[in-house]
Amino acid sequence: MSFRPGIWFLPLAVAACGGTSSDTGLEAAVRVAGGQFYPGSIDKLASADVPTVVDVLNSQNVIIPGLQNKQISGRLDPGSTAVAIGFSGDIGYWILPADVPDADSPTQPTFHASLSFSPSLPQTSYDLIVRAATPPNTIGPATHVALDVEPSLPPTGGLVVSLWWDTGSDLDLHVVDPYGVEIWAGNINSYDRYSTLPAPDAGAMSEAGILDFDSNAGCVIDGRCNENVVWSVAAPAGDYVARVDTFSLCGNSAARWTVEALFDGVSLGKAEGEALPASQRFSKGKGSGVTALSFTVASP
Amino acid sequence: MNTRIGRLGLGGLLLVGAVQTALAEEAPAPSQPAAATSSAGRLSVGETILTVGGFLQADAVLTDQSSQDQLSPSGGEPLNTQRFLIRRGHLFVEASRRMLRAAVELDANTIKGMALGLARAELALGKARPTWNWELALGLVRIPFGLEVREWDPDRFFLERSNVSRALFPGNFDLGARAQVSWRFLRAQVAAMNGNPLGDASFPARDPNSAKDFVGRLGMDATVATKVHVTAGVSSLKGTGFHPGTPATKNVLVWNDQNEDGMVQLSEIQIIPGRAATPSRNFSRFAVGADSRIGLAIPRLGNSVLFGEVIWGSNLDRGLRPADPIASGRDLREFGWVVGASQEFTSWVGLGVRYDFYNPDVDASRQTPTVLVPRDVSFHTWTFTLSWGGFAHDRLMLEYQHNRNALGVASDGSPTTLAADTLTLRGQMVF
Repeated sequence: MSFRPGIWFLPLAVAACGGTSSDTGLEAAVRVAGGQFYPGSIDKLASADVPTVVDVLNSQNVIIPGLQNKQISGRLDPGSTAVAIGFSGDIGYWILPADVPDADSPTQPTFHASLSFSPSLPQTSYDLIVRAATPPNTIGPATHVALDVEPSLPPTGGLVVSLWWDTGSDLDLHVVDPYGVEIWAGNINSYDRYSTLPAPDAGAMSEAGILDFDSNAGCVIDGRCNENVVWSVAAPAGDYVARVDTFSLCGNSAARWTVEALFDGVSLGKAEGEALPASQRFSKGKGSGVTALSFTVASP
Repeated sequence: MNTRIGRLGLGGLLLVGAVQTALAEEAPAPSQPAAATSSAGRLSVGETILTVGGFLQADAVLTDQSSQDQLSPSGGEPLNTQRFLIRRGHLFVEASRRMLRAAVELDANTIKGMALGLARAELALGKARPTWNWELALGLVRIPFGLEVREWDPDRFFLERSNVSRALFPGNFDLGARAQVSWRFLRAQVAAMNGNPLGDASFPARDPNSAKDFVGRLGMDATVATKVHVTAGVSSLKGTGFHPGTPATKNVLVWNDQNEDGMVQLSEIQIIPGRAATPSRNFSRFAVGADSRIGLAIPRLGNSVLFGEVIWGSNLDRGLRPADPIASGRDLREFGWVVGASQEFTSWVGLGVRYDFYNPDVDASRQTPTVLVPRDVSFHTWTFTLSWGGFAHDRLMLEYQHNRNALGVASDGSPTTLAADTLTLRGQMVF
């Protein structure tokens, strides 16, 4: 609970009135780069007949949670100086100053907004509202852009071993296949051209298990916090081991992780754990990490 | 005691102890401390006089309109500023022997996490007479400019310096050599300094170029009547700033999914060619200022202080909005002033009010959709301080700051104030 002295410190509270909120809008569902965040619903702003939004250019109406840098642009009525952008029903909206007109419509100010969306956006349809503004603080009618949220799908394949974790740490997934080949950031493909058992064939490389991404590698935080080893076709039958190596916590106190193996969409096992500072002290490379999950893929 | 310090002047203080010397630099005023000198520990070893002392300022930021329970999206730093913190915890040791004086002062604070560093380290050679004295000092010394920069932190009635002072001089100390001389009521100080004081936004306590900043102040410090003490002066700085060059970059391919189909198309791949390294460059900067403080000791009531300072500068902002004329393509002219007054009511309670104005770029402009218009980027701050304490510097202070700025965007796109009012409680003790 924050302390609000304005309640009892009346003279000072009177002096404090004025000023826009310094809320950064991180809790809003949509965020506008370079915009000023205003708490309150964009739907409830008093509306005038003018200025209007002439048009809005938007490439795609489908977004995924956590999407960054979605560009929308458009033209505004002459005399407009800013544009208000926000989701209908969101906790706030954004004010972005208008840009200079394009050469083909020299009287109409433009706007160019770079939108980012909350990673926790529920899968539903949203009404993005764009409203032009002009001095003194007159806001025009709403222009609506429908956006549908679709979940970011996990990778598909015959066998998928996934690792997720919750902080900006560098964790690595290691998977050992039935032939003893270890797939990890240092060997992203289980195809072993020098292996004699079994003898590799021409299609073996694409049929091997592949690590899709080394997330937060070297503490260069990408925010993904997810790694998958995927066999796009039938994975070899036998026993598998999945390990989690804490390469670095990157300054975090801990990272809670989850490992799950899916065979044709059916879970073969799931494990959860926590990486602590002590987990970083082991040697790094092939064979490192703690065993998180052991499972067996049956013969077809 | 205050009157005695005023009569002795800087030279006398040099002789009687190092703490007094430190205080004497700060332009003695009716509110000059007695407790600091009396509470500092002193030890004589042969001809050497050792003095140990310090002060602590512990803050509780009760409210700050800009505070949020979030981390900065860019740097990951906490945005919450409503907290308890140690603003300054200073400990100093001074040794004086004949004409020599050496001082080392450490500062521990928790402003950006636990930090411990040098606050002052100087070696001085000086001579004092009843009516005149001189001193040469080398090391991390106080910058001889204006009123607020030269003020000792516990002496200040308000919690922090004004915006203009903190912007142009983000720290009170810089590495360099300083000479000062006083004769009767006249004071003169000149210094050659690195130009990157403690608190500098780019290279604190370092110097990226060989050119030095030359700073000086010419002033007076006198007790005009029995109860009236006047301090006034003019200051100037002429120096060289530094624009950092950039290292060479490699060619980069960037994919921008313009049609948001998740597929890489040739038209969406942009080639950003590598660039050769750009050299670092120097630029000129300067500031001139004038300051005055009048103190009146009212019997049975307490001290009244009225003060003011005005500064003009060019390319000198090193704290609030660091000036870089190479990057901006033009000189950045700064202008600011501060006026304030404080009144003691007995030795227990004091009230102070201060107004300060600072414009970091008087030539700023902004592009509206149709025309380029002037932009006011100035900061205005009202500060109200209530001080309570019964023993000189040992006091409890409650300060409210009402800030007006141009950091926000109004709903019509024009600049407006971003709420940043604060209410802070501080406990202070000098030992």
